[in-house]
Amino acid sequence: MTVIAAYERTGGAPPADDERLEIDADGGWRLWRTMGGERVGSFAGRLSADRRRRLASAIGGASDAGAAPTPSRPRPDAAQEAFRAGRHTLGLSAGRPVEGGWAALVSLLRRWSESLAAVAAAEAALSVELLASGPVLTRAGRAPLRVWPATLRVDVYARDEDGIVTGRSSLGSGDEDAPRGDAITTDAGWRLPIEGAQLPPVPAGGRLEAWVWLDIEGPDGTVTARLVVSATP
Amino acid sequence: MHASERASKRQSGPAGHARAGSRAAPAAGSRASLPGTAFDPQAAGPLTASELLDLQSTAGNAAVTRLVAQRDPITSDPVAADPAPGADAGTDAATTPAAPAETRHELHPGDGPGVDVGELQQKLNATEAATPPLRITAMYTEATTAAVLSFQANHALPATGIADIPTWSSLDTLAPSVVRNGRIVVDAPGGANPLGPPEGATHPTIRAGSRGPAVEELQQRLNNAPTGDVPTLLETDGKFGPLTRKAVVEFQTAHPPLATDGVVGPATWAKVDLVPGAVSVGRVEFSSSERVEGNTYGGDTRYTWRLTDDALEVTVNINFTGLSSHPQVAVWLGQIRTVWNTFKFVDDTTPGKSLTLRFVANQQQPGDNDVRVYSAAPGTPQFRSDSGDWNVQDPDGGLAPHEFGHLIGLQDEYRLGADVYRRETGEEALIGEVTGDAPPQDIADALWTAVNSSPKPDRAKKARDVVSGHSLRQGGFSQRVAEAYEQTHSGDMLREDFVANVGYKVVPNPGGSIDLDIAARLPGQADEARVTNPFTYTNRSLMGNMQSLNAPQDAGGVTSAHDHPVEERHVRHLLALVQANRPGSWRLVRD
Repeated sequence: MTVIAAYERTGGAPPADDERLEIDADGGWRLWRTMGGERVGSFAGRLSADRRRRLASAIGGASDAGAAPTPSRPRPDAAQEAFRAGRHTLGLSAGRPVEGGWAALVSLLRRWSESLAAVAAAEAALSVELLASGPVLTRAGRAPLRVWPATLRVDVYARDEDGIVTGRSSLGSGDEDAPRGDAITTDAGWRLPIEGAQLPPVPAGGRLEAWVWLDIEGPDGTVTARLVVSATP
Repeated sequence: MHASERASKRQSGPAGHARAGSRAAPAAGSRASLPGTAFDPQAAGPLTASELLDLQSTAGNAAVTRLVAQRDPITSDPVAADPAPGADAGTDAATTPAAPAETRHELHPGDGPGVDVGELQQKLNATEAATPPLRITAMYTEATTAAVLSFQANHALPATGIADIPTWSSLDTLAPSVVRNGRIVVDAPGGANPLGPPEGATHPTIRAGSRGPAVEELQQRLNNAPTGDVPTLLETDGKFGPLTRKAVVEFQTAHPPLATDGVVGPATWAKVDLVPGAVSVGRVEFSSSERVEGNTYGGDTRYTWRLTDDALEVTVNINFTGLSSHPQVAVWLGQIRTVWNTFKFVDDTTPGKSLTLRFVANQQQPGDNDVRVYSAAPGTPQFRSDSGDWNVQDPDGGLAPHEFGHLIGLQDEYRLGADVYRRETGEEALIGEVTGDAPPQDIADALWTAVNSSPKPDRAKKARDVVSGHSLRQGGFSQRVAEAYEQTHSGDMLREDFVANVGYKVVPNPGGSIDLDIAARLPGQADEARVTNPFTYTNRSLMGNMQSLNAPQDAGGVTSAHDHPVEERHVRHLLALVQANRPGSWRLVRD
């Protein structure tokens, strides 16, 4: 099936972003998401008729615009984004505002790269929830997913009502060049309670936020994934 | 009031020799055990090189970091008496010797892959036995043999080409291995250049009506000029009035072919900067760019420095826009103070005399730099901050200190090509992963095929498949792949240059590097990082992957002094300001 629109976001200060969304002419889509909120991994589905109409309109705008606008020199630490509409591509520093013919497509694909994972059935994904004992990783989807437990790093933050970090506890180092150790293959129903991370005290009106980093294997190889979940005690 | 007399010329002291500070105590507190690592951090006794190397190869650098922190074997001066040229070991208490000579064993041509061969290559580079520097492949190649022979010839050692014990001993003395932020490193000759190379002038152009520290600096420097050149005495009030303009014209007249227009631009500043004599204030402004992941990134640096009775103050006024009243802004400014204000200058000619190195980050409008404050949740495309966009939802305590580093001109220390890494950090390239699962030439050929395949949009995915399929990671093995790739395709290498108003332009780059070539061959700006990453280098400093700030020792937001996320090299250039403008023999130490 021909890919009619695509979005990629990669790079930036370590650990790098690594996200991809491809949409076929028949509305089928595939999303590979690593820097997620509560879910990361592979997702797939089919766009609704309404979304397909909006996409077609946005692609038309980008195609009419033709050659991509000249990018500005990216700032240090920025990730890079690439958008594709048919044969045309646009590359820019991630998050930069875009005006003109590409604006609608850029806005649409950025939002969908975030939102589609929340509504779609996963092919192979991890989700995280935060229990009183600590974060728990859970498998979703039917396809097997290889993970590297030795790469696990957990940061649990306490935030006050303004969102300011007031405490933190950590488990693991997340060192990028440390050996990954052995992989394990996870199947549906796999759970990994992470009990080593002590939960910092939460101020009144505040909340806990858990960040879980773990190397996983996706369709194009091993990558560091990040899951984030917050909860009010 | 006008100055009654010329400012006296101050003698700048000779560069002070680096000396060790006292070793910081390890962070207190219990640590959870890590999955996948097995070592006894409580075991007593000094670290040996073999322990370190074994641990690094089996449990990883994080384990080495923790072991070093917990065993803390160094109780006295941890630094070799004569550090290698350019070494910053002497002022860095986080630096510990890593490889006692008694643990060495002979290495021969053909040996490898091995961490010890990589260390040999680092030391041969550090002693300038190899020109150009050896690629750190961890293989005892012909080039390595030639470098060993060269080293032996230059140091009255038997010319065997074998890294025997006397050769090791000499190398270890001249280029000691140290553990810095959890990695065994060897300092490169020439020192570090962590600042972005300025593009054009380093001072702002000023003229009649200008105000501020740049004008104050100019007035002080003009007052230092010989009276025959500049008869006019100036009040150093930072206001560019008629008298200042008159003095500027006098100076320009005395320094042909400067235009006598009273405007102080790059040419006039260049001459003014050469006027001998001390000043107490200065204004630095420049643009610079850096190569990361094969791409060019750019930023602007603007700050004011001022010497007071007790400190060298480096001030950056940040104009926060967007959510500028968010309480996180005050947290960021505090984190910048905590992380950066960790050094002082000591005058060896006057016991007890010192100057604090104080970084001041103010929220002020107008500012030296604009930073947009915004809020984006994790998982959104906008989450990631950069040097000009700071996200209040990012909990990373290293965010603001790292980006502040950019605002004062520092470059990133992650995903750099070997030559850039060496130049920026003043360290030899890292050894990293030394083995792989296939012949390097095969992987190089597969990569070349992938990045030249059709259609173009599929190239990145194919290249990623090669990199991930062989689990390529930074280090010696990937360098062997890079070597095969570059040797096979030397004449066909490309790179992308960023051209203002044009964007990225692909240009020939014969003899270039694999990371730049791959970046140039992959369409668009995305998806390059994962393919080029194995062929680059990343360290753990504040300007690297910030691992020093994110390690478990950081629990509770307290940065362990042991980790030293701000390296001495990041502030070393400021020592020159003190040496040039205060009498004495100054050196930089951790405060």
